[in-house]
Amino acid sequence: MNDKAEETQSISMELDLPHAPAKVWRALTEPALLAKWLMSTDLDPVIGKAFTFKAPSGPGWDGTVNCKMQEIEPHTRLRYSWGGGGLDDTVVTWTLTPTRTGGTLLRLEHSGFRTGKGEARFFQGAKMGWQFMVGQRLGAVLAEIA
Amino acid sequence: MLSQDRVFRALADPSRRALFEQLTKGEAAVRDLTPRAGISQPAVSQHLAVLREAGLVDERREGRLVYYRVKLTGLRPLVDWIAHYQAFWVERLEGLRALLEEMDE
Repeated sequence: MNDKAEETQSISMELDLPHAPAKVWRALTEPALLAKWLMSTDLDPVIGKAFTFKAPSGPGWDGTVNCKMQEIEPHTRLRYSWGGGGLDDTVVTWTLTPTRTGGTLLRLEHSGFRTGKGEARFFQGAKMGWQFMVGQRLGAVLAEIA
Repeated sequence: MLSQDRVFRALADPSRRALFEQLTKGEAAVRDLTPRAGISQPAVSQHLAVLREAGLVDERREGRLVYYRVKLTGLRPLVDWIAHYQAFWVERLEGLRALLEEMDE
């Protein structure tokens, strides 16, 4: 890694589900269902359309994830940009593959995490990380201080 | 206390976070930081001491002045924020699995 090259990292994971792709697709695209397992959202499955996910706000970040729909292939593939709290240009891709038993192999890829050395950017990116991903831990630390 | 907790604790305070952010733009003395921080000079010094103990800033003495700057290695405990994101998705996907169980076919 050098200072000029923009290196990125991604996260990927797979879930073997006993549910049909059509049903999994609903959970990934219907706001009422998304609110139950991910975050409240105004997602509208239309390519090019902007939408947000809302997490509780906190220091350094208002809790809004800004997204834009990039690709929709019903029951198969869903891709949107994911940014906010200093985290820009990341992309979330969901891929659904039917299994022989009538279920779904669901794959999530969250790509585009920049790992450059810029201190300020490091800090920006980490802001969202603390609050969003380690909120409980930060909460515990804060409770300890109080 | 884990170094990560020390970093979280130091940056949990909005004033300290603002000071730290300001220092990411370049080295500065307490007197340079005070007007922008909107808090008293002793308070700024105290915040800087916490940041220094957390390994987030370094100090350099020049005559009677002390200059502070961001210590890059201090951010190392946060490099792992991608791992936090990974943990976030693992947790949410468990929620998805549970929701699918409840939904009608």
